[in-house]
Amino acid sequence: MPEYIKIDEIKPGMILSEPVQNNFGQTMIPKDFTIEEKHLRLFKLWNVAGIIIKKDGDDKKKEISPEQIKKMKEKLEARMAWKSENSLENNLFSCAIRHLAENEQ
Amino acid sequence: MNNKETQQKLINNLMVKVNEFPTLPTIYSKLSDTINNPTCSAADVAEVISQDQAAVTKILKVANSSVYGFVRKVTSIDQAVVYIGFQQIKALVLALSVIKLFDNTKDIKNLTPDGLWKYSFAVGSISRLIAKTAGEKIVEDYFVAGIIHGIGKLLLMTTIPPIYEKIVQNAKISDEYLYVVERKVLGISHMKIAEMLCDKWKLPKTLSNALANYHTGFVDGRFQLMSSIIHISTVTASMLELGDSGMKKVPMLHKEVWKHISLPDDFFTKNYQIFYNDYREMSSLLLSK
Repeated sequence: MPEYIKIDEIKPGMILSEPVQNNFGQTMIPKDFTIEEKHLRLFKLWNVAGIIIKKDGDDKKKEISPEQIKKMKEKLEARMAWKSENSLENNLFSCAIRHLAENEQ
Repeated sequence: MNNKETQQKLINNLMVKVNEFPTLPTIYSKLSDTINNPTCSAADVAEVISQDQAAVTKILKVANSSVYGFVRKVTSIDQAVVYIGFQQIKALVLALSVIKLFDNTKDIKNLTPDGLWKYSFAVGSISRLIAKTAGEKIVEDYFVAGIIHGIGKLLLMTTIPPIYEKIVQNAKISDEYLYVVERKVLGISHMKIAEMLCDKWKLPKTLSNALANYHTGFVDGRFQLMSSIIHISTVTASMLELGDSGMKKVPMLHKEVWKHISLPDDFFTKNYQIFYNDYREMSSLLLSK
């Protein structure tokens, strides 16, 4: 998923997920463009607060093993007194499992 | 003294503590008065906020965060008022004022104010997105309602730390919901305390009703949008273990809310990165002293 990066944290090599536009909606740098050293100076000149970049794995999601999923599913179910019964609740459940697996210590 | 008498004494004591709790800073009431005046300008609103430098700094931090994602840097409070909007700024000032009032809350065993605030920022960020998807105009009201929904717990942490420590400990090792343990021990829940605080501060009834009933999303058996949105968000934040709610269990999902709130089937996975980023950024911006 794209990530918002503040001006001070922008580094060369980052790839724009959204174009950089001025206040009139004109595109200054198009999306999919790779940030170079010279752009950092331009961003400051244009008073840009931050940009939206692509994150590693935007196209390929982090690998999580079926064992991890199973473990997180059991852990979460043990804390829940209700079951997911419709598509939206299933989506919430999957979202939580994925988050817990990705952030497992 | 029997159990009932002890509880009544505790409740009376808590009501005194609520009454004695500080009022909201004058900046909030001044801001409300200014915004309620139909002829007020952005400069008038900015002038009121400028009288509180700490508020100015925090508002500018929030305005330049991923929550708003403005391309241009917001450098003055005048700009922030224009970009964010009058009612939205007022909501943010309310959140900042409430956070400041609980600045001196100390850690208790098993629960820290920071953990609770983080959970509340997650609830606020998720509530904001649900409100937006549901077509609400002033999404900041939901953001702020989520942020301050746990003020009852904070007041209990501040006023009766040894007793509340035991309540939280019980809710973390047992299968019981925190508010159930609170009612058993104190005869009153943190939701009721939150409602009393809102009433003391003369905040809108929609907000105090939402905070008093977010565990079901229904007020006196009737659906209420704000409490339902906070309800869904507390369940979500708890499932994802964002911050610390004060209990191990995931809140019971009151499924009746889906009859009134329609969200796309992929709402959570689609919006996850947004609310997770907002949650992390709010936690680092607003918990830095």
